[in-house]
Amino acid sequence: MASQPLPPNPCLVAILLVVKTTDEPFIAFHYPPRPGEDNSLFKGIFRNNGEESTSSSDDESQDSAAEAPEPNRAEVVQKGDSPPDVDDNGYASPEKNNGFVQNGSQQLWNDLFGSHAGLLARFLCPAVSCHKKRFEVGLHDSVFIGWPVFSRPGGTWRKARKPRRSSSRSKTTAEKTKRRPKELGENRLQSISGTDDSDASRSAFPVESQSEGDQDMGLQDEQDTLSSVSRTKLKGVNKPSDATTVTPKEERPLVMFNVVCVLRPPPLEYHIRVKEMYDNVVKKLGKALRWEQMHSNFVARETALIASLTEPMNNLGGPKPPLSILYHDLITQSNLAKGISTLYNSIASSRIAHVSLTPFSSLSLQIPIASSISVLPTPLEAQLPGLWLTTANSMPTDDDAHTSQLGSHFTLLLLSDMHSILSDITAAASPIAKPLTHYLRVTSPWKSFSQISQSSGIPLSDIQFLASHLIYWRRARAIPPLHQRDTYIVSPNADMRKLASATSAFAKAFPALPPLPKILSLLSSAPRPYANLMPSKDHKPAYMDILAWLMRENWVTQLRTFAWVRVPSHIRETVSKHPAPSSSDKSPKHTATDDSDDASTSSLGVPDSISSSRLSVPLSNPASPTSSTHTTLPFIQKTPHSPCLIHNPRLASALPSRYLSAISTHVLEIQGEESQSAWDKCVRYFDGKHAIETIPVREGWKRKKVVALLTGWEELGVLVRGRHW
Amino acid sequence: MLRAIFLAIFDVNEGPKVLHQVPTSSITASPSAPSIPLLHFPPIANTLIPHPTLCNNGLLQLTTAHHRILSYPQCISSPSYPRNAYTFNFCLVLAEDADFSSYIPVVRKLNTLFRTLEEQSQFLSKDDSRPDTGKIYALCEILLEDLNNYSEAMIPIDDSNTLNIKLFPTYPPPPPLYAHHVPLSTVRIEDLTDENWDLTMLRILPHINGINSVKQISLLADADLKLVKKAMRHLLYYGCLLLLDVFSFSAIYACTAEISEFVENEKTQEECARYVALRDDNTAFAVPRGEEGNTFSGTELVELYLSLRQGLSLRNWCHDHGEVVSRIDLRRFVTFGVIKGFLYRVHKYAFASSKKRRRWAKEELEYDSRKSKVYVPKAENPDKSLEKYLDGTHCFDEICTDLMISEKELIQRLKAWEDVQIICR
Repeated sequence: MASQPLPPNPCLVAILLVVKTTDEPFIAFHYPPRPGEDNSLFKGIFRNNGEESTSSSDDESQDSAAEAPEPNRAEVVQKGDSPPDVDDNGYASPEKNNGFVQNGSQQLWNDLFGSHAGLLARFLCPAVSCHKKRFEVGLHDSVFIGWPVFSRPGGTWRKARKPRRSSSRSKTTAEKTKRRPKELGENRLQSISGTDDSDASRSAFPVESQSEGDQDMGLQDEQDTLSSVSRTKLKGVNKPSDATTVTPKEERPLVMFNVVCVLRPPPLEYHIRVKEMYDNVVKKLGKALRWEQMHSNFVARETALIASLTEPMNNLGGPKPPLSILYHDLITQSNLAKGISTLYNSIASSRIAHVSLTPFSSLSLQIPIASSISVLPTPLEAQLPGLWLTTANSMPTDDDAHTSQLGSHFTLLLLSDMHSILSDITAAASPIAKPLTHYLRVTSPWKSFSQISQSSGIPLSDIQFLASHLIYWRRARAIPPLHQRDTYIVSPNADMRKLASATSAFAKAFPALPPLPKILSLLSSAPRPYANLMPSKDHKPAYMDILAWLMRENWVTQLRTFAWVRVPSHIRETVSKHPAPSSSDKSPKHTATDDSDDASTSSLGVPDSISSSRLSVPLSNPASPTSSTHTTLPFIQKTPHSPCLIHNPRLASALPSRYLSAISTHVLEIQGEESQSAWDKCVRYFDGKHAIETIPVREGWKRKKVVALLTGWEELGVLVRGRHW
Repeated sequence: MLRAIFLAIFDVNEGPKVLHQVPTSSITASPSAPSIPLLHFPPIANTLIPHPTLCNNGLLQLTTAHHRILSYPQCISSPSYPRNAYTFNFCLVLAEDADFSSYIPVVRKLNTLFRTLEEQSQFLSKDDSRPDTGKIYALCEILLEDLNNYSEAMIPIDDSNTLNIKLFPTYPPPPPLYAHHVPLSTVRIEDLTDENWDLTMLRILPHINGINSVKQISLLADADLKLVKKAMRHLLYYGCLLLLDVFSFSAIYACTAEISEFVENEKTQEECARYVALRDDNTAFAVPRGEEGNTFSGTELVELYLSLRQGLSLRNWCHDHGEVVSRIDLRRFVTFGVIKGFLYRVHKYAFASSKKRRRWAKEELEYDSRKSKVYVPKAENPDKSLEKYLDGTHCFDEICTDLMISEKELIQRLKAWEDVQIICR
C-alpha cells in the first residue's frame, strides 16, 4: 500500500502572506479572496490572471532579454513613496478596530477561517527560533504550513559589506568547490530541473553566475559568503532594485515574512499531503522570496504596495471597493500578489506553477505526480484510472543501476505535441534551450537513447540529462522504445470513462484510420505482436503513430515476457546421481538434505520447489509448524525429482549452479554449441525481473533469433515463460 | 504513542505557564529533575494559550522540535475570576510523524470535560495543589499510562464524573460497491454477531461465501439491494470483506506483475496447493487425498498460473489442461490468485459510438410520433435496455447482473447493434 502512489490531491485551501514589521504581524495578502468559500464570483479575475500567468514567464523573460528595467524602475519609485503612510494603517491591527467590531464587508475582508485576520497573523508569526524551519500549526481541520524568514538581528537583510572582499570571495569559491560534487550527486533530476526555470528567466545574468544562482537557492546557510557573490552578480544588472533598498524611509522595516499554505488534508493522508506541499512548494517559494528580499528588498516593497492597495478595506466607515476589483488591482499591480494567485490556481489544480517574481527571476513549482504504477489496484484500493501500468521503470536494471529509469535502452515519449514544447522552450530562453531543441528534433519513441545518441552525435549522458528535465516538467515520459514486434494490450488501468471523448480526439488525429474502439477491440484478443494489426506494410508509419498516441493516453501497455529457469526432473536426477566432488561420498538421501540446506541458507530460497523442501522437511526441520500437514504426502516419494524453478540464476548457490551447468550441458547435447553459448549468455536474464524483450537490445541479437532460441529452450523444458506489464 | 500530557493555564501574574506535566519536567525543566524537556515551552506559550477569541474554537495543533502538540484551548469568562476569564488547555504531545487522528477525540473530551467541571464546581481553578502534585496531575499520569498501554482509560474523577476514553483507529472510507461484486469474508463474522445486529446484516451473512454476488445475496436473503449494499459497506469499512468477481467459465484471467513474487515464495505456493486441491465432500477441511496425487507442486502451480493469459477464457483453458481440471478446484484456483493479487480478471466492455446510439434513439422517437397502431419492432432492432450500458464504462458482469441475463444472451443481444466493439481490459 505504501508504495502505491496516491491520486494527486493538493488539498490547498489558501495561500497567505504573513508579514511582521517592528509592529504587530499582519496578513498582507491572501488568496483566494474568500478562502474555503465559493470563489466563483471572482472567476473573471481568475481567468484573466490565469491567461496572464501562462504567458507571463515568457513575456517577462523576453522583456528582460530586450530592455525591461525601465517600467519597473518607475513602479519602484512609486512604491518607494508609499510605505511610510501605508504602514500606519495599512493592515488590520486589532488595536485599531478592537479586533471584534465587525460589519458587513469588513467581516469579509478581515475574517479568515472564522478568525480575525490580525489574530490569525499573530498565530502564524512564530518565535525567531523558527527562522528557516518548518512551521506547522493546525486550527480545526485546516493546517497552516510555512517557512518563516526573519531579518538579521540588526534588522537588515544582508550582511554588511565586508572590507576584505577578495578573501571572502576566495572562501566562496572554496566553499563552492567543496559543495558542488555533493550537490550534483544528490538527486540530479530534482535539483537541476528544480532550479532550471529560475535560471531560464534570469537569463540576463552572465552565464557563469547562473550556477551560482542555483547555489544561492540551495545553500542558504552560507548566506554571508554567498551574499557577496550575488552582489557582484547583481552589480551589473539589478541596479534599479538595488537603488530601492535605499529609497524608502525605513521607519518600520520588514522583520519577518512567512508564506503560509493552508491545507485541508484528509486525516489519513495528513502527513503525506503536508510533506509534499512543504517540500515542493512552501520551502522552495520561501527560499526564492528570501533571495529576492536579500537582494532587492522585494518582499518589503511588494508588501508596501499591497498594503497601499488594501488600505481602503481597513478604513472603518469609508467606502470599500468590491473584492473583485480590489483583487484585480492587486494582481495587475503587484508581482507578489500575482505570483501567489498563480501559485494557488496552478497548485490547487495539480498543475505546474510558473511564478515570476521580478522581471529577472521566476520559478516553477509543482508537486510531482506519479507517472506510472506497477501494481493494479484491487477493488478495495484507491483507483488510479488512466495511469500508465508498467513495471518497466520500477524494476532494477543492473547494468544501468544509477539511472534505472533512464537507462540507455529507454526512450522518451513526448506527452504533448513537439511544436508546443519547442515554442515553450524558445519562449523561456532557457540556457539549455539550444541542446534541448536539437535533442527534441532527433528524438523518437521507437529509438532508444543510445540509438539516438549514435545517430545524432549527442552524448548519451546529455540525452539522459535533457530527458530527465523534460520528464520532471511533465513534458515527456520514459518508456521502453515502441516496436511493432512487441505485444501491446489494452491497459487494465485504462480510464474507460474517457473513452467517448478519446474516441473523437482520436478520430481528429487519425481521420483515415479505424476508430479508437475498433483499435482497442483488436488489441483485446489474445496477445500478439502489434504488427499483426497492420493491414499492410504501407500502414506501418501510421500505425506506429497510433501506438504512440495510445501509449501517451495510457490506453495500452506493453505486455512483456519474463522467464525463469526450470530444472526438469531428469536433470535433477542426473545431478543427484553425480554428486559434487566435495560431497561425493554422500548418499542421494543426503543430497536431499543438502538440497534443503541450500534452500534455507541461500537468500534465494532456490531449489525452492515445494517438493524438495517438503521432502526434506522431516529430515532437516522437524519442528517446522507447517511440516505436520505435509509429512504424509506419499506421491512425492514416487517422483523425488519433480521439476523445480531457479529464481536468480546470476546468484545461484551451490546446488542450483550444478543444475544450471547440467542444463547447459543438456542444451549442448540436444541443440548444439550455438544454442549453448546463447543459453549461457541469456541465463542471467531468466530471473523474472528482466523482460525478454530487452535481450535483443542488450545482446545486439536479432529478435527472430531470440524468439527461436526461447521457443527451443521452452520445448526442452528448461524455461518457463510468463507475461505481464 | 503519547510522549507527554500537560496542562497549560493563563496565570494572572505569570502569564501562560505549565501547571502540571507528565512525565515530570518533560515540558519545562525544573532544577530538581535532570531530564531535558521534550520541547521549549516559552515560544509556543502564546499559541497554546491564545487570544480568547481563538479559544473554545476547536482543535489547535502545532509542531515544534519534532513533536506535535494537540490541544483544545478553553476560555471561561466569568466575573468570579481575576481578569474575568480563566484559560486552560490540556495538551497531548506526540511524535511529529505519528498518526494523531485517533487522539483528537481524546484531547477534545479531556478539555470539554474539564470545562464542564470547572463551570460546575471550579474544579481546576480551586485546585491549589503545587505543580505536579494533586489529583489533576494524578489523572494525567493515569491517562498517559493507560492510553499507551491499553489504548483506553476509565478514570473516576469524583463521585459523579468518570473519564472514559478509548482510542479508535481511523479507516479509509469503504470503496464503491457494485451489484456484481462477490464478497468474501476475511473473518468468521458469525462468531461476532449477536441478536442486536442489524436485521439485514443478519439475513445476508449466511450468503456471503465468495460465490454469490451482491445482487444474488439480496435475492437469496430476500432483502432490498440498497440495504444489502449498505450493510456490506459497513463490513468493508472494517476490513471484513474482500471483493471478488463473478466466477464463470467465460471469464478471462491473466497474471499481474506480482506473479514473480508468487514464483519466488514457496510458502504461498504451499498455501495455494492446500487451498486449490479438490477434497472429499464429506470432510470439509481434511488433509488432501495425497494418495491420488491431488496436490500440486509449486512448479506445477506456477506453470498453471502462467498459462492463463489475456484472450483465453477459462473454458478454453480447461480444454488445454484437461488432465489438471479433474484434480483442481478451479474456482479456488482462480480466487487464490485474485486474492493474492497476482491474477486479475480481464473485464469485457461494450462500446457503441454515441452517434449510433443517438440514431437509434431518434428512430425510436420517429416510430412513436407516427403512432402507428401496430408497431412491431424489427427483429434486428436493438434492445433499448442495453443502450445505457454501451458507453464503455460498464463491464459485462455489471450488465449481466443488472439485467439478470447470461453473458451468452448478452452477446446475442449485442449482435442486434450494428457497430458495437467489445473491449477487454
